[in-house]
Amino acid sequence: MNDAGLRCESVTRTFGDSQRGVFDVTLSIPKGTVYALLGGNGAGKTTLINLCLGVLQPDRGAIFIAGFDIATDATEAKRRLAYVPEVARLYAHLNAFENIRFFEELNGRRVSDGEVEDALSRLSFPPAAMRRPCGIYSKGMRQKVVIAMGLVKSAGLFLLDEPSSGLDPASSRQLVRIIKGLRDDGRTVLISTHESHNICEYTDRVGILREGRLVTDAASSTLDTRTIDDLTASETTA
Amino acid sequence: MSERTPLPERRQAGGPAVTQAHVFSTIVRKEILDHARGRRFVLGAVMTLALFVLASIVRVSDFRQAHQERNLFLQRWLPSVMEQLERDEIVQVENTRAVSPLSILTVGLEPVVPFRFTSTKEGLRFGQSRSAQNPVDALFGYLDVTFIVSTLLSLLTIAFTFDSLCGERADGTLALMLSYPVERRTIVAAKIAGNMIVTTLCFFPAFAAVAMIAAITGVGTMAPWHWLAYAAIALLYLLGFTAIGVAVSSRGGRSADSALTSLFIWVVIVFVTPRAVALVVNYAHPPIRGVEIALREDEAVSHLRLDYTRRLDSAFRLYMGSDASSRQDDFNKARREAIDELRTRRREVLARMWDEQMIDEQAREEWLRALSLLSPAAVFQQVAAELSWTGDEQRRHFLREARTYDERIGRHLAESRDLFFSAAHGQDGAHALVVHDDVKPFLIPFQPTWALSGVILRSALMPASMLMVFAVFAIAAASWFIERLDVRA
Repeated sequence: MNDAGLRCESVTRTFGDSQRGVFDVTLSIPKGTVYALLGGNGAGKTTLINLCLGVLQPDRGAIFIAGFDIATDATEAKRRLAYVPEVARLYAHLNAFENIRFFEELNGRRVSDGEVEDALSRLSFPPAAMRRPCGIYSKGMRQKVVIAMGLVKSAGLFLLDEPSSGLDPASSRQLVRIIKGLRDDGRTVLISTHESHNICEYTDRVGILREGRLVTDAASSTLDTRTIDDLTASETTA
Repeated sequence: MSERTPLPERRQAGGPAVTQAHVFSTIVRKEILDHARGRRFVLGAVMTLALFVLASIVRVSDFRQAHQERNLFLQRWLPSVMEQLERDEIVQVENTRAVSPLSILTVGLEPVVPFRFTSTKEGLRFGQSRSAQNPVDALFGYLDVTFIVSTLLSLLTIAFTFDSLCGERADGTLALMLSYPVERRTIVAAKIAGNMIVTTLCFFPAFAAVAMIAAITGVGTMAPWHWLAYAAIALLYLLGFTAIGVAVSSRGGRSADSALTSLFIWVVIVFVTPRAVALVVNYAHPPIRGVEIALREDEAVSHLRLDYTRRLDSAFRLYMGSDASSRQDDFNKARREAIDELRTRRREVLARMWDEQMIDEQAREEWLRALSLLSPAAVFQQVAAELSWTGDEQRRHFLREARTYDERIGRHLAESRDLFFSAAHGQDGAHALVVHDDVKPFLIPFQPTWALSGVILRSALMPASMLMVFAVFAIAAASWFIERLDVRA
């Protein structure tokens, strides 16, 4: 299990009236796996992502990233993960190079322009935009910059929070290609999403959260979109 | 990647160890660069420079005017005293003090400390203080560097910091930052340090301009360490506001809410608390009224002078009724004894009254100092005034010096003439005797000095420590808030 990119052990975190949050979630995502965490609004997907990031502390249980406990060994754990938020705004007045360079310095490393350019080019980032302030970037472009940060960081685990929301079809297709590329490179990807369309095509496993509980954790090949839709729909209408 | 090009060879995850010191310096650097590119910094730096220069020009002109007044007065001093002596008038020896050259930094108590004082036979009398004589002072109420630091620069630090963290939270960059090996406390410390460096970059060029103006205009940059200590205290004061801005910003919420909260705290610290402190002290310990002191002095001294006059009168009667060849010596001896006794007893009585007055003033000052500790702005103004030789220490120093001068010199001059007159003896009408003392050795005008730097340092130590406590408290609050901040936008 130490080879797992991400491991959650009986993770519980509640809010307010203790009716909301995540309850007793246990999952293990092996290295080089793309895992889709599905669920409707308020199912607890973002809470679980925030717990993986160490932004929230679990009431019970533990989370390990590449074998490092995020609660007790946060520095090592965080050096091995890349977080792609739903809305990746970045520093609007800095360009892609400056943003990536700043965040990588927080990781204790100075990166060369070549390295940054290389990472951005592999994500098909328009070269002309690289030196322009991020404030003018589209959502897809900002997302690519954040993913490029993870590439430059050599992160083993990518946490993508609702990555496809607000993307046009072309950008969504490009995102799928990027996720596949990350898997091919042996990186672990956890995608939190409420969109089940084509999810089985590019993920290895699917987990479904319902009211904070992981009700399904199965290989994508064993599920079809309709089954997932049924599970998600029943959760949504519950 | 879309073209299926091979990804770069993956490095070993982790890489070189990340220290929080490195993270700290990275965020500080970014903070400074962000400000350097922004309008707020440029506007703040230009505004600070312009106001410091304006304040310096106003204060230099005021200082030179006071200096000129004193020089003119000193030129007239000796002839004026000589004229009085020659005309056998009752000698009233007026003197004037000097204005501190460092009042260019802080006007402090200058407007309330008497500019002139007079030695009379009845005792020491303090005159009026110098009042504002230029339109800028009339508008701002004594514009000086300390006023600008305590109000405008503190507001500027708030403007720099109010959205330093809540802005990042709203932009989502704080959450992104925390997905890196960065501790929250490091972010707060770096934000405070970065903004403090930016504030320092606004302050120092302007402060250097003040020193240059002082040097160029001939006011002189006396006591360089006072200037340095002043700069250190000003930055310590501003550190507190920087930390307050970051602390408020660490609470999250919208930038507009953060701005309003910070502004409210600033108003309370800079305007409300100092005035509330002054009100409470005035209520609990009203200042002693000058007229009351003068009346008490007059009453005590007039009793002594009555005794003295009786003794002189009896000596003069003996002198007039005696034909002995030694009558002049006997009279001189009796007069000398009476004067000596008057001086001794008056010194004792006045010393006792002055001591009482000093104790009373000190008690009031202690109240003021103690309650001022609640107000960082009042504390800063106190320390700034002390370092500029316009504070309580210098005021006490001047009062002591004036009294010493009055005892040693002024009194001799004031009592150097006595006219004795009798119409009761002899058939050839009234007899008068004028006694002239030799006062030439005492003809020295008042030469003021400055309170010792060691004394000022000691008196500034406690308020400076309180500013340190204020800054530490604000930093601790910022750390406390960031640890509890929900970073999700």
